[in-house]
Formats: sequence, structure tokens, C-alpha cells
Amino acid sequence: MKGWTAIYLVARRELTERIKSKAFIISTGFIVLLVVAAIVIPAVFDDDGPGTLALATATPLSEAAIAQFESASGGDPVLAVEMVADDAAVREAVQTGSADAGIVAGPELIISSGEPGATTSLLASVLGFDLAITELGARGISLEDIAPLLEADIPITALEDATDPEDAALAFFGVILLYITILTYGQWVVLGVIEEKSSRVVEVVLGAVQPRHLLAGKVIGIGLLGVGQVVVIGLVALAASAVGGDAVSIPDAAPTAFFSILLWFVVGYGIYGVLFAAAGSLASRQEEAGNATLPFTALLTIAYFVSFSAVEETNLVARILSFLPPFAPISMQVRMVRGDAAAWEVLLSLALAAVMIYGVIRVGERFYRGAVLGQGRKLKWREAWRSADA
Amino acid sequence: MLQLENLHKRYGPVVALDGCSFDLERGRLLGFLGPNGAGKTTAMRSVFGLVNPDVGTITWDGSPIGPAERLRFGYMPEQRGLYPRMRVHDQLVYFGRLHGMTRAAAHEAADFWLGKLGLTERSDARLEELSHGNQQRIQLAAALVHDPELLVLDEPFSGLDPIGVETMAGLLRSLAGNGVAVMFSSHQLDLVEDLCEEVVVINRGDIVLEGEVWTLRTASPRRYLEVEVREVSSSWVDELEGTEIVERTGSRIRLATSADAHLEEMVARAAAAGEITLFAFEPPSLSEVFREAVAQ
Repeated sequence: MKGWTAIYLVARRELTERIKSKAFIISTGFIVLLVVAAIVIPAVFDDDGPGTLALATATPLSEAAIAQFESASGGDPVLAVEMVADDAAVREAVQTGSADAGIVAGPELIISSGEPGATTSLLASVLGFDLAITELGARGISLEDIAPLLEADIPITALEDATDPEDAALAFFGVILLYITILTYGQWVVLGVIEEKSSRVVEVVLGAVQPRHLLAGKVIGIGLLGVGQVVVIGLVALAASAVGGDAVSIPDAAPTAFFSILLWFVVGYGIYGVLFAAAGSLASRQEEAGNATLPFTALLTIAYFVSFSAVEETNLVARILSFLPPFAPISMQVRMVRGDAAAWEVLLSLALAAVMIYGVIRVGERFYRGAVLGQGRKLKWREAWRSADA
Repeated sequence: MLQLENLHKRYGPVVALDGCSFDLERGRLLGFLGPNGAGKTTAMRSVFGLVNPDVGTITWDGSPIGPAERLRFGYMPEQRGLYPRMRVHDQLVYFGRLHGMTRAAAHEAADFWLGKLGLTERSDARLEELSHGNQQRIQLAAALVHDPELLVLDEPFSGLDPIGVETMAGLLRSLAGNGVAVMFSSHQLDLVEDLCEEVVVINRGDIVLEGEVWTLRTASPRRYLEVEVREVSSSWVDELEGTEIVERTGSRIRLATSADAHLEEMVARAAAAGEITLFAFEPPSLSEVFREAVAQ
């Protein structure tokens, strides 16, 4: 029998046995539900329309000032002007909180406490502008005369592109999804390896299949299941965004994010799946799975936290990690989605990851081969390495 | 033919195999005996590449055993194990296909063995839902599903009830009758004595005894005489020379004697004493031969 046939048969069993299992169906359903909730719920809460700024005043506000404010605020918030008897009534309205701000003689803008926010500052400058127009009018200069002067527009140029909040959200989503899926499927590999070893079925299987083919088939079979799940989650996320209507729009970077997540899942799982298999083969019972894989889980967790810090803006650490294979699957994904990784950077990162995958397969296979024949015992890394020759 | 030649294997200070050599021909049923820790399991695992001997060769029909040859072998390890949550029929099909069968052939063979072992209606059950005895049967079926030319079974009778033992014994006999080379290890020596023509005894990693069961038994200089003479006192036996009473149950007596004892004289004396209802002259049992071999 060709090696590929053995790999195919093993992979097929891993895939079909798991896809039929309740645990898989429930976990996929749960993740899909979580993703839909994460997209739809904020959209629902976000849909409460523009806010209102309640303004108390004893002197009427000009139509022009109100129009100017609302044009500057983009209609959010709108201004709700409440006419009161005198300045004392204005102060009372602001103090009791029935108004957000008030105008008293001076004119002066009052707020209840603290530093003025952006809207209050905007209101203050609009009022100042309105006052100036009134003063000019009193001196015989109409608004029409000076309108051309006011249209002088000073352009604002950012020296660096700010991250689009939608891209940051996608990157954030990608970090979580990659972390969860790589860990989950890595754990499945570990548990599968331990199950075979602890139930001793591995003795019968290895009578017919070589250890490296068993390892490859197992990692590939579970990996394909993972790819399938990532695709399903991605499609559900896109669909949920689409049916979310106006409240949620599909970000432009969504397809990029989708393929980037898929790509880095394959790469990340390629590294961690094999490492986890080797680690799992050292254990003899399910309870030891966590300890056996701890060093690798820790690496992935570092990538997770560093990438979180870099969702908005790349920092030096995140930039370095995006090239180092154990961290790149999460770190480079963030940079790709945010569009701040050059093509050569992505390719370099992928090339380094490919080298690492080759390395972990060579080394992991040896540990696996040595350990899996350990007759159900718990082994140390050194023992497994040595007994691969035995 | 399976040939193990001069196998040596050490695990650190522990010597598991120390020059172990023996042959097994097609159509033979070989009992592989030895005390605990003698190296039986190590020798069997080495046939399947689960142990790499430090020294020595293992061949099948004269050529070294590689992955391709192993596909024609069946193995039932001492530590039983299959996939606990996998369905029984799926499991057998899987093992059939791992041994190179086509999908159709594997399905057919799985059906055949489930039928033969009386488990057809449990085809869709998960292995863990089966009783211990039925799991044993599935384990056997997994070793047989691909119609192997060589079958190696590590303690196939352990944990079986008398009916299970009889079924297993019958199955092994018929497999050997069909030309399969069968070897199994066991501690149930009475059973081995009944079942096998040949045995190999391993002790401290080396073969200390091998050959046909009857030849090995009759090679001993000792013999036993079991005799019963109706309704007389047993005092007549005390006059027999070169014998020793081993056991006395009523008028039934077991005597230890030697291979060159005068059988006719004994018969004559017993007949003179009264009516003979039992007279059996036997070589030592396999169990005794075994104990002597491993005591050295």
C-alpha cells in the first residue's frame, strides 16, 4: 500500500468519525451562534438613531446658529432648544440635568460639571460665530458680504493612515477566531493521539501503517475539518452582515480577512497540530494533555495578546512577531487585514513558516514515532527521542 | 514461513530478548510459552515492527519483513484496544482497508466476520457499548478481517469463558487447517497441550524448548501410572519397585515411575490384585515439562 493511501484512509477516518460526533456538531453550532450574536447584537443596539443635546436658554438662538451646529455635528446630536424665563432658570435646568447645557448672559455656556466635551466645544464656537455675525450686522456688514471669506477651507492631511475601525474590528475578529480554532483543533489532535495510545489501538494500527503516515493522516484529517469550520464561520459572518441590513455593512476588507484567516489557520494549524501531536504522544492519559501541550499553548497565547495590542496600530513587538513562525499565524493576519504588511513581508513570513512546518514535521515525527510505541506509558521528551531508534 | 533468528533486545539494563530463534510454517498452530517477562510479547511485537531488535533478523518466506509484508499479517496484541467510540462494522472495514483491501472487499469481510462471530445485529453499535467478551471477538475479527497469511495472537484466551475458549480454539484450528501460520502465547498449558502440535518455550529472552508437544513430553525419563483396582486394598502397589505414590484418592492411585518401567509386570500385578477399572501410563504433562524447562 502506498503511503498516500494510508494517509488518505487515516485522514478520512479522523474526518468522518469527528464530523458525526455530537461534540463537533455542538461546538460548531455554538461558535456559529456566537459569531452571529457578535455581529447582529451590536447592530441592534447601535440602531437607536442620533442623539440629542438639550440646551436651556433665556434668549432665543438664531436659526442660522442652530443650522450651523447641526451641519457641523452631522446631525448627531441634534439640538433641542428649551426656552426658559431667566438665567436662574437656565442654571437650575442644567443643575437638575433636565438640560445638557445652558446659555446665560455674557454670553456664557454652562455645563453641570467636568471638562467640556466635543459637542459642547462645538456649540461654544458656533455661538461665538453667531455673536460675531450679529456684531458685524450691527456695523452694517451682512453675512453675504463675508460668506466667500468663510468658505476658505484648510485641508487636513494625516501623515500616517489611521486604521479604519472596520478593519480593526475584522483584525480583532480574526485574532480571536484564529486563536480559538488553532487551539481547538490542536487539542483535538492531542486527544486523538492520546486516545489511540491509551486504548492501545495504536499497536494494531501500526502493524499496518507506518507512524509517519498515521501522524500525517491524523493531522490532515482534523485540519480539513478545521478548514471546513473556518469556512462555515466565515460565510455565516458574511451572511449575518449582509442580512443585518443598513445597520451592518460588509466591510471592504472582509474578503481579504476571510482568505487571510483561512491561510493563517492552515499555516498555524500546520505548526501547532504537529507539535501537539508530538506532545500528546508522550502522555498516557487524557488528564496529561494540558501539561504536555503547555509550552506550545503558551506560545500561541503570547501571539494572541501581542496581536490584540496591535489591532489598532502596529507596534515593534507585533511587527517582529509577525515574522516569527510560531506567532505569525495570528500576528501577520492582523497586519494583512489592516493592510500595513507589504507583499514581501507576507511572503517572507510564509516562507519562514514553511521552513518551521518542515522542521516540526521532521522532529515531531521522530518524537511521535518514539513515544507512540511506548506501550501506553508516559514518556519524557528525551526518552521518546531516543526510543525512536529502538 | 516465519523465521526469527538470533534476536537480541535490551531496554537499558533489562534484557528482553537474548538470542531468540524459531520458525513457524504455514498451516501450523504454534503455542508460544514462557513465564511472565520472558520476552514473549517483545518477540511478537518485533514481527510487526513495534520493536526493533538490536541484533537479529526476522523473515517471511525468506525475505525481510517490511511494511508491505505486514499488510498480510494479523495481530492481536495482549493489551486489547480498538477505537472505543467507533461503530463495530466501520471499525472492521477500516482495518480491512488499512491492510490494503478495496472498499467492497472490506465491507464483505466485515459482514462475514460479524456473522461468523454472531454479532451481525451489533454492527452499528459502538465498540464501548459491547460486553467485554464481544469486544474480544471484535478484536479478533479486526486481526482476521483481511484474511492474513500469518496470525499472531498475544494471550487470545485470557478473559474468555469456557465457551469462548472452545470457539476461539476451534477457529484457530480451522485457520491453521486453511494454511494460515498461527502462533499464540498463553499461560493455559492444558489448553495448549490439547490445541497445538508444536510449542516454543522462551525463558529470559532465549528459547529453552521447542518441538512437537508429544515428543517433548515423551523425551522426559519420567512417567506416571494412574491405576484403579476395584474393591481391594491398595497395599499391592507398595510392592512395585521403582515407583513412588504421588496421590491416592480412594482406590485410585497415581504413581511416579520412569520410562523404562516394566509395564507388563505392572499390569500383571494389578490384574492379580483384582479387577482393573483404570490403567493409564503417561509421560509428564506439558505443564510439567514447561516448569522443568524454565526452572533451569
